[in-house]
Amino acid sequence: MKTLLATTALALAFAGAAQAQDSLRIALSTFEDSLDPQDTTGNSGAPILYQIYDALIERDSFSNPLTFKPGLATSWRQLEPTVWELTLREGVTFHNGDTFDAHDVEFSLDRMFHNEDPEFSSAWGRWAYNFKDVEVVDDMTVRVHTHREEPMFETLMSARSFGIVSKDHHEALGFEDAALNPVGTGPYRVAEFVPDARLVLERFEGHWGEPGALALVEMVHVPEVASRVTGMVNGEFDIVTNIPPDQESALRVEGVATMGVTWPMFHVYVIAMNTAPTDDPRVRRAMRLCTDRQALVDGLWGGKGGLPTAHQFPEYGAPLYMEGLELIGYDPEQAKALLAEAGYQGEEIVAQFPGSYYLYGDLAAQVIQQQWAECGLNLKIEEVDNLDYERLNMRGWSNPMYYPDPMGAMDTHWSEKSWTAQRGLWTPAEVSQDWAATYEQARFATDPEARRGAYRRLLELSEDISGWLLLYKPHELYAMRDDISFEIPVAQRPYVLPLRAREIEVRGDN
Amino acid sequence: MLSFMANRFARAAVTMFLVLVIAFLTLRLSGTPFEFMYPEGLTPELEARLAEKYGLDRPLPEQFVAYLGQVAQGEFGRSLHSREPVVEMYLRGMPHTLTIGGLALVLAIAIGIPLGAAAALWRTSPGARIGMGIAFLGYAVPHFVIGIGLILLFGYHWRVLPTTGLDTWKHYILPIVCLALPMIAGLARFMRAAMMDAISHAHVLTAVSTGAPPARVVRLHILRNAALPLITVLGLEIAGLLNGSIFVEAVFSLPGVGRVLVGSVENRDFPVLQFGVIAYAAIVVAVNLAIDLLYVAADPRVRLEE
Repeated sequence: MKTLLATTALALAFAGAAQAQDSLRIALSTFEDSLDPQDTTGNSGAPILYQIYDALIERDSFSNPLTFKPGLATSWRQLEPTVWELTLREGVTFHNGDTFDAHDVEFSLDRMFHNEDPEFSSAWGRWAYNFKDVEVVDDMTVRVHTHREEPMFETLMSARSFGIVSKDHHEALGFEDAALNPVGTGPYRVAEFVPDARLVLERFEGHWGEPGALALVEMVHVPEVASRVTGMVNGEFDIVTNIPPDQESALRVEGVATMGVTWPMFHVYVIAMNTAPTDDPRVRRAMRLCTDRQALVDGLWGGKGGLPTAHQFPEYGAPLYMEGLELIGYDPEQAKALLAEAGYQGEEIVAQFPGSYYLYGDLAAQVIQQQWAECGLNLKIEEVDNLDYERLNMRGWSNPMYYPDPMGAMDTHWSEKSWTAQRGLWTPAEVSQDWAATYEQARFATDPEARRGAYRRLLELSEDISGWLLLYKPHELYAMRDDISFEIPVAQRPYVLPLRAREIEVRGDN
Repeated sequence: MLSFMANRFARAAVTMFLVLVIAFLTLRLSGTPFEFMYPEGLTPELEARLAEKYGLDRPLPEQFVAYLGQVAQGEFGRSLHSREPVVEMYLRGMPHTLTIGGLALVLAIAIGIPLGAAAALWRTSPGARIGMGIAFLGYAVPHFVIGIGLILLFGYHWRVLPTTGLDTWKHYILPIVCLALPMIAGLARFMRAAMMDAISHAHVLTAVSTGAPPARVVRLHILRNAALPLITVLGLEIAGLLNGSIFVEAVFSLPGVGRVLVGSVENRDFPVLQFGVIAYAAIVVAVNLAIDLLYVAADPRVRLEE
């Protein structure tokens, strides 16, 4: 009896420790170790940077099709095809009290646009390579110059990698320490940051718009799924992220709600277009045709993953998303015919995987090995420490939609600037004479209909000749206190947590 | 005595230099760290620029000499990832690791040694046999299994103890227990064996036959002889604590040095990992040195053998 009483008392003490309505404790599966918006480009930074930094142009986070709203710029217009003029917001202060002006814009963006320091090269290659310069007209006006006319100017300018940092703060501390003591103009200010471990955000009352929805947000890095699930059930966290679908049953307890999300992201295989036997387009096409993705979605993801029908996401909205486009199919007979035509004799197709970075990636490879064997494809799976690009025919990767536009998952992953092309694995322009011109249209045409048409042609070509294989869209769960609710901000990149004003509801009746 | 100490210190210095060389070389031969910094993809051009920026494109001997020069000045560089000064990263985690490790050690000694002694003295009783059976299990089960088990029981099912971080005193309970359990088992098993060995000596039989009271025989003739090898085992346990803290800190998401070390392995963060390996080796070498010196103090025969 004594033990029971003691246990009950302890349990009650913990129930009392549940968070107040105005502050949340969030467990993230991956974390960041520095928080510079132009340097920190991976998925793990997405839920964090969104709270701290503002861009000149902002998106309505829940809009589909995408709509824009003023951010640190109050208005913008295209002066010439390659010049945009933006009027900056007056009276904006940074979290440390510095005043925002055109020089902060020039400082933040030019280091990325100029691509001189390798730290900013990743953001440059993915978002900013067509941007040339920021010209300071006066303290409250800038002109942004692009190399070519940029049809996605607003879409790109509103990416978090275009967030603005304080020039004075950076110059006083230096790049390294400024990234460890982040200062932006966003609705939350950083109160404490322990790299790779813990971040405390406070509502920034001095925000130019509406301060954050919560007074205090603590984000902690909890890499183990079991620890995140337990911490949620145990009342240690208010929200936990990245829960695999097979853990859903463990979270069916009173007071905890879950929300499944199928991200605009494909897990993919990169197929080397430069190494035999995958240098033959027919072999690559056969690999695609012989992959039963429905079986993967059902078997690995409990039917909840997304089945790809083409390399596009509904999040683009009209007019760029093509409803009903079905380019990806399962046809083992055709695959066998193609292999016979190519003279494929069961040569090894080497797939290399460094550890299990992608959820269920190791299982998927084994299933696919079996599926392909039935078509006569001989897949060899190698677990390696370092990928050997001279040897491999295939490796795993993912294609998140970095911004809601066909280019947000295409240009960011498969352009001439991407590592796939730079390493010689991705050479569609050598296979198809149409590729380069079509890509050009899809990327730079100023008429959205023309871009849409070109993108469609690009997708058809891709399924025919390219070196990609789309597997599925991963499905994950958020778990949260059942008095918390929010929607997925579909206009932002995957994993952004909507904690800005009026984006999350915490009723406090849990 | 002086030459004995000089000898031991020289050996320690040579060991440390070898560790430095091995840590440096194996890391660099294991590949580049940059692929892990950009899981979303890395162009060969960016990889080359990063290598140049961090001096990893220079010949290995040149890099090593530069590194030795830095280390000699107490400069261990910054993390390639967070760009924090490496020493700061470890200093921040150290208090947590020491607290958890220290308390686990105290708990293990307080429980493990009496348990083992009792098991030896009452070796035929069923209780002792069951106790040692459990100890054997505890010794055989790895930390992360114990950790996950504790989390599932106390966190998930009973919901009585917190399982991540170190915010309150309650947060310390599960990690300390997790770290201490295998150590308790190890110490108990060792103590029992050492006592049994001491009991079997002829002088114990002599003492008993002179009619000395049992408590006196145990204290003077058995415990004393059993305690000597225990010093070595405790040293090993302290080194083992460092291993354990790596798992325990990962499972319970604790902000200690074990986690810094694991993170640096995952990311191939050369400067962080190098310092971690060197510091870890330094602790093990220092503990061994201390044991050697303690032995001299406790057993004069050791000195004669030198």
